[in-house]
Amino acid sequence: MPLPAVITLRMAVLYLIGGATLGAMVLTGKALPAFVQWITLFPLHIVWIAIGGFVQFTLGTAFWILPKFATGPSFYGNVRAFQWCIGALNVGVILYTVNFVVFQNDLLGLGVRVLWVIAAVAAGIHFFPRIKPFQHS
Amino acid sequence: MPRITRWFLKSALIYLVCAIGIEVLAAWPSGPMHRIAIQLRPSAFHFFFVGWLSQMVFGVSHWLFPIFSRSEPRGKQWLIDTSFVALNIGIVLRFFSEAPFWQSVYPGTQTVLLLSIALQWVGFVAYAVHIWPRIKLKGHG
Repeated sequence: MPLPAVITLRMAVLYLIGGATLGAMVLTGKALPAFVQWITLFPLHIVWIAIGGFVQFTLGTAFWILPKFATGPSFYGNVRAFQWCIGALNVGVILYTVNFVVFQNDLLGLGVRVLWVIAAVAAGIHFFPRIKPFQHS
Repeated sequence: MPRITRWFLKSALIYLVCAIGIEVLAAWPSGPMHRIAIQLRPSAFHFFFVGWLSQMVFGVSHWLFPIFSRSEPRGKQWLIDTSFVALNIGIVLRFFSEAPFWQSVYPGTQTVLLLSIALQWVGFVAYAVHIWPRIKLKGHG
């Protein structure tokens, strides 16, 4: 596996564990009235497991496994775009978490969504050319 | 394809059908099944996200990711087996304990729900510990 895929997939696995733990806390809040306030962690559970976990896992696997290029500065294409994608996605998740726990600021919430749009556009820039037939030469 | 991957993928497809089936019942205009299905929607959502999506990811990654070692190509088998068993029992127990109406069906739903929480969590952590050493640079280990 190339280094960017290793970093991305390991981040995703960490978020999956964190997201599953948050999910367990939310459900415990449903089961035990003493922990009812844990139900409020639901939005954080969704963001960690869906965006930090599964979206990131998919991106890392795609970077590793999609067809590569026979020539060029990198066999993996525009690696810089992929780095922007993963950087923006993770900074977005961290900022979402900080905003959720500390600030609850609407403007910061908007900034998080802008970061995720940047991540999505960068993913498109990186992956579009790699969705092609395999090159055997 | 390894046997545990086949189990992950086939059970994932079953959960997908169940999740969509409950959504169809919940969308039904009225009737007793509609009222029950509405309460089952959180469980059905997790049929989709945990039962289908997670199991697809777990099964396919166990099959395709780089080998762990020559003696144990796919890593510790007991870890991925534990993940499969814990996740599936956890999801089913959740289905039969999360919705409020179960409290009038049988006693001890709270205990069953807590057990389902623990099992689902163990399922995720066992998978994470299993797959971690297989996420590695080419030529390492």
